[in-house]
Amino acid sequence: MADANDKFTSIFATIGAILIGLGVVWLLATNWHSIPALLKVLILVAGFCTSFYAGFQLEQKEFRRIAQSLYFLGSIIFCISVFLIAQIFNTDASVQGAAVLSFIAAIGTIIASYIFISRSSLVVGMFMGTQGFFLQFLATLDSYRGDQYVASYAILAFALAMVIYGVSLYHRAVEHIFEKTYLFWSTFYVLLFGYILSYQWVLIYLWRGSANPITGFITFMLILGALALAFGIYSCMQSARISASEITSIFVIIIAFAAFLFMSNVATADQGTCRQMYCGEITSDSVCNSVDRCMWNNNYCSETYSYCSFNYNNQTGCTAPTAKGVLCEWQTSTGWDNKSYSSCVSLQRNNQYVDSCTAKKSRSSCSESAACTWSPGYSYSSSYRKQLNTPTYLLWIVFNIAYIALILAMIALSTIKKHAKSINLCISFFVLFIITRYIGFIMDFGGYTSLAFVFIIGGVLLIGGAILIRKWHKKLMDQVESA
Amino acid sequence: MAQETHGPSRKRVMLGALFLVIFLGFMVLYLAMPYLVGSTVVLKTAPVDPFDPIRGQYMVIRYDISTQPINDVQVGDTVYVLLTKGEDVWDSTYATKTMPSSGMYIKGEVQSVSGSSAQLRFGVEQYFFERNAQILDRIDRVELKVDATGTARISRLLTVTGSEVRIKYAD
Repeated sequence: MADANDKFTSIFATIGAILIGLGVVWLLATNWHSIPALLKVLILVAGFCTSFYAGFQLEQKEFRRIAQSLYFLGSIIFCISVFLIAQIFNTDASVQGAAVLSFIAAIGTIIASYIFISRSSLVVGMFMGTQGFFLQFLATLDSYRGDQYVASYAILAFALAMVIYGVSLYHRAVEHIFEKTYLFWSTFYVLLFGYILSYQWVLIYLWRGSANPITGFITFMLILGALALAFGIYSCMQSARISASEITSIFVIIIAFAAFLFMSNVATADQGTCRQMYCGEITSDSVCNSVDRCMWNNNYCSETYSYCSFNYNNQTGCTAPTAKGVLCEWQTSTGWDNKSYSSCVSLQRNNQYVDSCTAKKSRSSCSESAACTWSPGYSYSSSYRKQLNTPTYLLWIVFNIAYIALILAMIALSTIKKHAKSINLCISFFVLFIITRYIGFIMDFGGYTSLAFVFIIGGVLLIGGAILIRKWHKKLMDQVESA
Repeated sequence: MAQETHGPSRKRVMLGALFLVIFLGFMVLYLAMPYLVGSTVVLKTAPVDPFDPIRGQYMVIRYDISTQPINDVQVGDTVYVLLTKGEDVWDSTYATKTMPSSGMYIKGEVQSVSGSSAQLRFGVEQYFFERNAQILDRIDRVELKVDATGTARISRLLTVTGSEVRIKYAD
């Protein structure tokens, strides 16, 4: 009963802290433009210092829950301060700029959480770090315009999960209260990793895009993750706080991850299409002239239809036939401004070429022809429907089953560890996964009849699933509470 | 678990707050460096107004010197643009990948490359202001403070006559 009262007080105190914070921010915001820059910084510093000190005073008087709410508020004000100071100095407003600010706020808050020994400050710090992770992801996509980088982020998420789990184990070994907070965030990152890789197109590009997913930084993070895990396991073994089954589970997940990376490299090797190179991509004159629609001209491989306009800017010589049988003619036309324009145009555009490359179904056979190039991605049927080859499709199915198994295993582990927040997180990812696959089916199944079936099945799943998941969640929570 | 029961000591709380103040202090010092030791440069500009969900309303400022002819650069590379003083505004002389040993220059990052020309970003492409702000004058140029490393910060928004742009805030 005392615990229930404590929880009740905590919820209201947190809401109260947020409301006070919002009120102060709103009041300052309305007059923000007229406050000198130095005073703005001092107001922000005073804001989080006051909040932390008030938290400390209340903690001394045994109002621990309210004190934690004030530490939480202080951490939020600190994070807001980072963004507002950046605003005062008109720093980079791009997504990359916001990512850097999120990381700065995260580092400050996480370090401070250790000094204050405040779990709520650590939560704010980890949240800001995760926000930075996502913003950095968006900034990378924006900068490099390559969705293949998604695969890199999936592996980075796994590396982060290893680092954070190692840190969690160390905290368990020294009986620090941050253990479960780190456990929650490592669960989040490992589930995120699996979720990203459950998409077909991410699997295709995992190894085959223009971007190699294993960059120097990711290799460093994977090594760091392995070291953190090893140190965490060692620390727990020293204090006999880890079971053999937990160590086995960790190794099984890591081996499964490595095996998956290896299998995906093999399975997706021939997932893609072989196409004829564009004329502009060809750098050799012999290869260029061997392609129907291309012609080597002035040390450049260009389309035959552009030959006339490229070579003749007056009527003299415009009718000369070329080696590819293209005939040029001097033509005059009227432009939108009613002026007459003359140019040398091609009469025979030679568009009816045959692309012999598309018949080559494997990467190796494609590379045998100098005029062909391999494009990783979906292949398309004669009716232009996306297709996966059998090894990639099987890998995708296996990975999706493995992902569901991973979620269930984590739920089981969280139940044993009596960690309700991790159970909620796992169930959230499970629901997200089901909804994502369902939307995927809607997108893949064309035609009214099949779509109607998808909707009906979806409706049944949603109604049945909602009831079952609710029951399942309640059962797990009861188990945690009774334990 | 003992730590959770007793909470942090007064000394730890003071230490934590002091750490955060010093942490922010370094950030402020880093950002203020061009204002403290930098030289003044005025650049020709053309602004537009977007909105940042985290930090509020701001103005994107495009500079005439943002596009530079330069070879052998990739997206993300650091580039220095040499500046020479004109009658009213400063203009670019050339862009280089190595930091110049003398003269006035501004540091930029390559955003995109097209042939032998690169689009640069100097970190001063935004000017924040509060909501309901009315810009009473047309912005023609921007006064910057640039330190010895080429890092720049916006100092003032100027009109075509060189006077400061007036911003009125509605209550």
